[in-house]
Amino acid sequence: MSAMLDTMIPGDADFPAASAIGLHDALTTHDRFAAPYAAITALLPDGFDALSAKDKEAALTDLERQSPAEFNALTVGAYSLYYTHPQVAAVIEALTGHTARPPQPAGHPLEPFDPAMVAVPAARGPLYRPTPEAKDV
Amino acid sequence: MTDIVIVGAGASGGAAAWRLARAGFKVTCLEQGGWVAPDATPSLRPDWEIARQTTHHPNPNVRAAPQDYPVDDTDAAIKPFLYNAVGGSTILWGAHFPRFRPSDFRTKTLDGVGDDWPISYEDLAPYYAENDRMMGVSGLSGDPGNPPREARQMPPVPPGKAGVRMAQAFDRLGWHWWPADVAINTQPYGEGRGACNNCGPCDLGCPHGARSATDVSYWPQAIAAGVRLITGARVFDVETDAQGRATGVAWYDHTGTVQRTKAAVVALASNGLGTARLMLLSTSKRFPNGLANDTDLVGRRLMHHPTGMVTGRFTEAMDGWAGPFAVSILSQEFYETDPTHDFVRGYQMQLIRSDGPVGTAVGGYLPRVPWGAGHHARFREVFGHSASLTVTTEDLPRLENRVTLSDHLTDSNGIPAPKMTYSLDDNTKRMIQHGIKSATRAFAEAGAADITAQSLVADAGFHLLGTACMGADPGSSVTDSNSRAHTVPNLLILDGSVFTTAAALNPTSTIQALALRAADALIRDRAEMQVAS
Ligand SMILES: Cc1cc2nc3c(=O)[nH]c(=O)nc-3n(C[C@H](O)[C@H](O)[C@H](O)COP(=O)(O)OP(=O)(O)OC[C@H]3O[C@@H](n4cnc5c(N)ncnc54)[C@H](O)[C@@H]3O)c2cc1C
Repeated sequence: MSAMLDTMIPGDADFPAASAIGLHDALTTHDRFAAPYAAITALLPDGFDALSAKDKEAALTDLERQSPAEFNALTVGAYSLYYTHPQVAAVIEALTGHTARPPQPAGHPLEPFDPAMVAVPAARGPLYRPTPEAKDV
Repeated sequence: MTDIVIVGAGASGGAAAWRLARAGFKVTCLEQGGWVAPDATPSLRPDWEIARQTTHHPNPNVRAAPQDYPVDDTDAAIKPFLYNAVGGSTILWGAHFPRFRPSDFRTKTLDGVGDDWPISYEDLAPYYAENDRMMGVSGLSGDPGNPPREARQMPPVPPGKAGVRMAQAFDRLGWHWWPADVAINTQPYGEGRGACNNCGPCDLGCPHGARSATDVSYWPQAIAAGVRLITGARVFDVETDAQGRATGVAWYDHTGTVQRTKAAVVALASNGLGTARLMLLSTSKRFPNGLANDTDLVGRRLMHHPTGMVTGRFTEAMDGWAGPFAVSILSQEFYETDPTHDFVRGYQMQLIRSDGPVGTAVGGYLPRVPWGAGHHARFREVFGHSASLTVTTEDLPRLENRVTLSDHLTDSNGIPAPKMTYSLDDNTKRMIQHGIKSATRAFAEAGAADITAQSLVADAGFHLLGTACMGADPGSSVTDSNSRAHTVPNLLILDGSVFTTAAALNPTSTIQALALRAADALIRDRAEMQVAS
């Protein structure tokens, strides 16, 4: 089964492959994602593991075409569990600065709004249409 | 017997309950959901992006929590988004807080489409101001797109790198833009409510109370003023006497036992879907087609804000995961009717930040990152590198867009679910296409490396409006200008059902201002109110 997940998420110099973070086990035990995972693995052609990388991709492309709903659910599950794995989060932090922790309670630093930004639009006259009862309020 | 029973503790119910209780009314509010603990937000957990797709999904059909009711949306081009709890849909909202423009109340007079509201911007302005003070608004004075008004309570939210970049592009194009008005604290404001720390997913709740939802803004004060709020209470009937006056409501408590609350005045604040459903459920000899439905308008004229979406990907990092995801800057350059367009009325463009890692990979603003050999390279290209402009259009009222009762779906109490029937008209489709061209031009001007458009975001039914519309003529509307049903003098409709037209922007500040105005009219007219004997 790892061969299928590694075809989908193969890993590279920075990112781990699906099998390196135990994605198979995580999917098998997940209350929502286990079912589509089982459904797609049941449809894999015999001898899938022995296929070349190119043929594995082709076989999965066929499966995606034949069972779009289940394949979609599996992809959502695989991506969800892969990208919430601490090892993957750490890679993302190293590459992008997106911290490998939940958004709260610390949040993220951001430059405050600079009122000088609005110089151009502020110089324009009123853009809203007058109505019969228009007056300043 | 209570003076008034309000059904729904969301944005409008909270505002009206507070106002009426402070004026000495004995107020009971019935809410089918419960309280949501601020520290229960999934944004404190590593699996927060999974919660977004499941337990905190804005579509009740996906979330399917016990307090939710299902919605039959098979014939609806736009899917329903709402939440059922104290705070209502503000529990999940993005907190955009614009006001209608004056012209939004006069589409018939100005453009010959829709209908004029029986009230004007000027009538509502004091209530917008009071509501701003209660909710807490961050923003900036001086917007040429809107009439002058009081200073906002706090300065605008940080624009982020993409906000700065797009503002400069709008300036070069000579287009209007302005920092969005938002009900998010940029400084501590309100009772025990802290400042936003730019965590991103406001829709998962805010443990600091920085994003104003009515469970942290209005409700603590409403309860202090004496409102009796009963949770786990699902109303299924508004009861009337032989003259058609409301006498109270019947509801299921959390054990499934039927309870009754008698009231001098009944107020519905269950949102444009829930209120229409309840009115259609409440049949009687006097109202065989549903409460106050002599005109067959209850449930009809359903309006959303059909939304197109354009996303620009930049080669430089925009760090779009930081900052309140839905709010930054907006452009109303194409808001008003322009005779050179092939459509009437207009749209606004709101800049949205980008997703977290799961959202980016699964796809939303941008197409899904494909699986396979190129997966990681594509993820690197897109993650934190994009921003999106919504094209939020004005939806004109049409009788065939409507809420009815489902003939096969029910909630957990066996009450028929609402069914939405909804399609877009050609005017709206042309408007969205124009908006997509405009947003694409703006991203090109900003130097986006590639630009992707979605001509209709189906998952955008968060604005549920118009299903019990307000008007001066009892023959062509359901309520009067004070949100009181024409044919049931002691029935108030407090939510977005009363919208005569929808404007092209987020409705909640207008919904709440109308609820406060309706409450004030009730306080004023209390002595002459016709109630059931
Ligand atoms: C994901 C999301 C994002 C949004 N973003 C924005 C935004 O940025 N800006 C904006 O202006 N608006 C936004 N909205 C919309 C905004 O939340 C609504 O306009 C607003 O909450 C409507 O207020 P309301 O009082 O009409 O209804 P709600 O706030 O929906 O409250 C209705 C309440 O009535 C209760 N109820 C319904 N039926 C019954 C019954 N039979 N018995 C008992 N109780 C019942 C419900 O449980 C619910 O709590 C968003 C909504 C969602 C879901």
